[in-house]
Amino acid sequence: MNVLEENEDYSKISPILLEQLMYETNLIGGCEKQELLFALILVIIIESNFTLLNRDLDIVNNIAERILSARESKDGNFIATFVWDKFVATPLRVVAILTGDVMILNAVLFDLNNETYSLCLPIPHYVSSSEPIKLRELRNLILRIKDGILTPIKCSILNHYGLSSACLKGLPEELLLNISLNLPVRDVVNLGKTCRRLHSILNDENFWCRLCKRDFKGDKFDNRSDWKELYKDKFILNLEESKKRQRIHMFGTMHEFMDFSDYVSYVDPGWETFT
Amino acid sequence: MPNIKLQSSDSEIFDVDVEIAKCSVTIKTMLEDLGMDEDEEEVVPLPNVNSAILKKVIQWATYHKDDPPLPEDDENKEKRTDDISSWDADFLKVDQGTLFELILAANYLDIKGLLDVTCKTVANMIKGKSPEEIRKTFNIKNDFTAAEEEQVRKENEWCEEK
Repeated sequence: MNVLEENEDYSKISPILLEQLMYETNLIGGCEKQELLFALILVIIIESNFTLLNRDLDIVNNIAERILSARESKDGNFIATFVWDKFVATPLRVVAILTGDVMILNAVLFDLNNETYSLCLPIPHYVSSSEPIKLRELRNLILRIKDGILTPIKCSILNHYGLSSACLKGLPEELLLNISLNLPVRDVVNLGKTCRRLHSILNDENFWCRLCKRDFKGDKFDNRSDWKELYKDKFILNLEESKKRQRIHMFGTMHEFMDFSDYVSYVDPGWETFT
Repeated sequence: MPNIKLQSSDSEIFDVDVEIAKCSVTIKTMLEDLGMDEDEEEVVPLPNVNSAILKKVIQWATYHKDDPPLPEDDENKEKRTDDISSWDADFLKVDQGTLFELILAANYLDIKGLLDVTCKTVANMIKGKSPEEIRKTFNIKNDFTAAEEEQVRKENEWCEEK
């Protein structure tokens, strides 16, 4: 079976794992396309430093066994359990449910409030239906699995152990503020509305002091402690002034393009009788 | 050009041109403070960076090795985020895990150019999105109670788009 698409970018997956995938799917024989897709997903997860476990929670790296046990099970769902790196106390259960041509992938952290992340994967999108079976859109699949499942799972595990993590809300405070200083104020506020941690970090007065100095250049600032309030006042004032300017500007341009009678009739149509 | 050896957290050794390695202020200071002789076969351990990320960092530093030094940051200037070069933009087309690990590595290694461009990339992913869209993009769980959410909304009413 040829499962390699010639023009695909395989550099993202280690050749050893791909070889293993080939070997094991060959081992199974008559591999169906959903089985191939699930095997590929397992390879991607293993590639991200997760270790595959068997039913007795021993370490195995046998993808074929997972596929075959799905064939034996009554519902035909694929199940695999992983642990990430050294965090053996918080295993990850991956369940793939098939409904027609769609694979619904659920990743559950049982020991962390059953936190679940799901993806909906149309099988024909990633595995061609005609013989010979070929994989495609590999890069896109890897990104979806990493961004939709693995990154948030890693963040949750790290947060659980009180460690900083490689996701937005897991970044140290100083870096979050660094990113936010690149944002217009509306986006800063929207970011602060997403969750408690970001809200409290972005309410920091020192940070609003920096925003004041950034956005209201030329203004003199005394030492004070209520920078967010000050920002708010200045923001509202500026908004009103710019509205006023806009109105004046509108009249100005009308003067240039209309004769006086038009202008008067625009302001109040009733005046027409006088002109 | 003399080379030095950098060791990632997973013990992989990278042979890197000293001048390229020195774009990291952390490594530069280490070399100076420790008085490491450049001819010596010394290995610099980097326990906070894994090999996949270190490889990317070296790739970035190699491409940017001839860049002029960055101007001192003017805090009070609104930063532009649309000035990311096409090479950097392409270099940063990675999954979020990698992007955030690059930010952490750039911060630890003190590489200002890389930190700037990665932070800008994240800022661009936030810009113009509603809170719910931001949550979706970054898998952030809404942990506010309904009452808290209402309070936060009120508190920030002043800058809502009308």
